Amino acid sequence: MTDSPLTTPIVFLLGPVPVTLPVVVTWGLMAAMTLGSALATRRLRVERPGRVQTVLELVVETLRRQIAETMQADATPFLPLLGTLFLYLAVANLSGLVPGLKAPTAFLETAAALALVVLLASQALGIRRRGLWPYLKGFAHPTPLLLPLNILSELTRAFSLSVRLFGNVMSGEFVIAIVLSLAGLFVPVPLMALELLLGLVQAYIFTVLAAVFIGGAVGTIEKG
Amino acid sequence: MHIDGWTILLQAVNFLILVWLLRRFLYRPVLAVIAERQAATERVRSEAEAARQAAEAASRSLEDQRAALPAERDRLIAAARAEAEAERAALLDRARIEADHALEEARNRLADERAQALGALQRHAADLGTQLATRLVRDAPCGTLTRPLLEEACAAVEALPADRRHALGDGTEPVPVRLAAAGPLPDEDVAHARDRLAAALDRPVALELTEDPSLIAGVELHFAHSVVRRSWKQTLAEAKEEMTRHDSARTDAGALA
Repeated sequence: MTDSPLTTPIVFLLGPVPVTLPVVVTWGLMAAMTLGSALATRRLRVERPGRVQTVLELVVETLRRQIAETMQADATPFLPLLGTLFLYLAVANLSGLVPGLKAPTAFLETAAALALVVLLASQALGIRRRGLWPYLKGFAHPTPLLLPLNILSELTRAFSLSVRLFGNVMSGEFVIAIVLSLAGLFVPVPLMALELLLGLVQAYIFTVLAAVFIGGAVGTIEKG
Repeated sequence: MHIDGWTILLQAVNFLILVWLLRRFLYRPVLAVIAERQAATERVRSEAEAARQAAEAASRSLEDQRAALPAERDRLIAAARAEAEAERAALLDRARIEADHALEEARNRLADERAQALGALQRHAADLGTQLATRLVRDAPCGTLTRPLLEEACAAVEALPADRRHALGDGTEPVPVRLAAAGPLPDEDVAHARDRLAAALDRPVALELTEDPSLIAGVELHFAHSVVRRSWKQTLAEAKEEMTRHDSARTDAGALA
């Protein structure tokens, strides 16, 4: 662990495009998640579902319910985006605990990319649900004087999203790496358990905040 | 600190691809199964609800029927009562008519029997009276009763119109007349009668005397084509007939009354 945690290692170059470690790990996670989903949903049954199907249904239904409670609206249209956000974040955060792997979310680029997706998605969904002019007029609410501040708050919210995620995951991994290098093999285990919890909590917080931002943009709840 | 823009872009694209993949392989099938199960559950629930409503409707219907039972029972009882009352009235009427009819028949039969008994009694009384009178008259001396009757018979011939008196003679001379009497007549009475008849017929008369005890008392003058009867037999027969006719007429009038 001599590398700075703030540097993004390049695995290979794809023409002019540098393919970095978080991208490669993300591809692996994508493949695993897609393959797992395809296998798990291969033989779904209405009557007497199996254990795997029950867990899947529980996860999907819980996600939908949480999103609906947060957005105060029907969650089905937002489930693919926000559900995938939570699942990817949870898997990505926990992947850091696998020896030899580094969580993609421990890199600022991944957190920034996710925050950017949430920012753009909330703008696009807001415009689609409310219309361009009423949505844009919302930035000048309650007074046009607040227009720059509202635009700034929109950007800073996305920025804070990405920094919070990156900071938490990166610092956790960094602390574990330091303790591991100083104390030995089994000493970081409690810290790793804490990191496991922390990863899930961060995924939950990021997803809930994204749901709040999108809910505020589409007008189902007050803008935060 | 260096932030790689390519990585941001690739990660964003990766995430969007993952969204699409998971929507295709996770959310859509799982949500479809959940929706199908909810639909099945809803179907079962709606069927159960329909069954419950049907049961409630049946229960309500039964309750209504049960509530309507006393009224129906009262109605049926009232109808049965009315029918029984009508039947009773009809039976009573029929019985009354039959009783009246039987009474009328009995009355008629009684009246007939009484009339018959009365008639028989009257006939018996008439017979008895006739027999008594016959016995009394038979016991009486013949001349005392026969002479006046002979006088009456002659007077009756004299009282006839001339043409009829003439017709009695039948153109013969002397006029044959058979004088039937209950017993032997005195000669002077026979001669007196011959003279009176001859005077009345304006021709001589040949009297032929015969005895007929059945006449009781009195005489019969037998001409060629007619008979003049003045006898107790005839009187009693007439009296009996008159009595019987009179009594039967009175009996009929009494029966009619």
